[in-house]
Amino acid sequence: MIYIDNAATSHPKPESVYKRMDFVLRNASANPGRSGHRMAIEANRVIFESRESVARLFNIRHPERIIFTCNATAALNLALKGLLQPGDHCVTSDMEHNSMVRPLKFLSQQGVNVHRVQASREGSLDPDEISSAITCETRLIAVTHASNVIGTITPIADIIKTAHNKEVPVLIDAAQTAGSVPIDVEALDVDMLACPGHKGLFGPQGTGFLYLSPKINLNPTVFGGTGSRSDLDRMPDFLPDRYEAGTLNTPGIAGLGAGAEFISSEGIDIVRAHEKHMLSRLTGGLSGIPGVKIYGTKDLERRAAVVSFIIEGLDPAVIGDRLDTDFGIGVRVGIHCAPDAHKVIGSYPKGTVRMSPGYFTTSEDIDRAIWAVEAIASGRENHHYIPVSSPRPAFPRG
Amino acid sequence: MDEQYKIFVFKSTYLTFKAERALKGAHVACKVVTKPRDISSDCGLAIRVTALDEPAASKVMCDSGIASLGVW
Ligand SMILES: Cc1ncc(COP(=O)(O)O)c(C=O)c1O
Repeated sequence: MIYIDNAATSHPKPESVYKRMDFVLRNASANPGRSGHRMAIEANRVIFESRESVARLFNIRHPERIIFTCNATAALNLALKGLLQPGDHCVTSDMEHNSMVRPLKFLSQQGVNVHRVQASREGSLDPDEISSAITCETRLIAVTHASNVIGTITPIADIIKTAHNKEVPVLIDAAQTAGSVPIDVEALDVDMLACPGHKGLFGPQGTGFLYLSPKINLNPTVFGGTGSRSDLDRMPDFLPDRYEAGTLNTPGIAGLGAGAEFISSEGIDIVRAHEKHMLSRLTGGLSGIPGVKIYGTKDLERRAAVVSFIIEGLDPAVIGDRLDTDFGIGVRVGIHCAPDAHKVIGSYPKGTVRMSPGYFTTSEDIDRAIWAVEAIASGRENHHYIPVSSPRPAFPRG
Repeated sequence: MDEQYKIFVFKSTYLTFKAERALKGAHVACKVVTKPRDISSDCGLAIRVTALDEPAASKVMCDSGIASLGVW
């Protein structure tokens, strides 16, 4: 099939990810941090190396401040529930994914005051509006780096600057950018960065992390064994142990490390350039089809590799079904766990069809997808696709 | 404890492996081992070097800014 659903999770992975996971699962899958035999030590080393590889990709000076989690949602939950107390004020936006919306809703029921700044119809957030929403009770600004519905990139550098002027930390949800859009944690002075391991970073599902700057101190939200300071009945005070209770996903984290190394060796600018190229080909092709409406900004510099569209008069669910059944193309339809973002762009409640190319998407994949949408929009059947571009390269690479 | 060896103990497993990497980079032979019971009741790990290599190991750790909790 042609997979254009990388915003949900990336597929395929680089060959090195499959190989590393297979090797670790066979040879180094003892419990890291629990026992002292050679395989347990090797498992520990695998975790250490992956942490270092992730740190290198994001230019993180303190790798031990990377907390491995099972996805971006768990990272966001730790950040929000570990920081916000009743009476605190938190500024967020109406472009957020439910992994931000729902924990904040829960916290608002516990007495946290949540203020949602409105995005423009293109999904952009204005740093000045965020800044003016800050009160003396504001404990956190929590925003997505890019919309998972329309890809609009948030100007995080400006938001962090204005927030820091008022001494407020910022939590960035990098679910749609980690591994695809360069993020220099030290240069940007990022306070907290929540990332899935299984999307742009090419790790397997069940991986993710939260980075915490040295200025941030959270309450742990999960308590249990760490293999360190086992004499204590409380969590250790040092990182990453303080926030990593329970057995880690060693083979998964090994894959995440291999994914991060793959991106570092290809060059994240190359990844971004390829995705932008796919994005441009896709939006260019779709916009020429009568009846197709594309949401979001036309400025690809401000857009992650996510395209939402509808065909006038057709239910997105039907379009998704036809793309899969008749054309073998995998996309995601509906409201993408972000109902408010769809309200902003005006596509609620039916939602949109979302296509999200990745580093392994080829021009031919995109051309086929455009051709399929054109066929559906004009009421044709799938029969005579004629490739217009070069054959797909051998992949996955790595 | 075995007089031939010295044990470096660190606050966290992360630092233990950071130290291992620094030592390997400086070609100082070392081994990650379970912390001996008479040093700590903790179930964590430590780094073992020969007594002969201890000064070199200490220097590597000092140069790379890795703080050990002590040497036994
Ligand atoms: C913007 C955004 N935030 C958070 C998440 C949640 O990621 P995960 O599925 O890894 O928990 C997603 C994934 O769809 C997302 O797109």
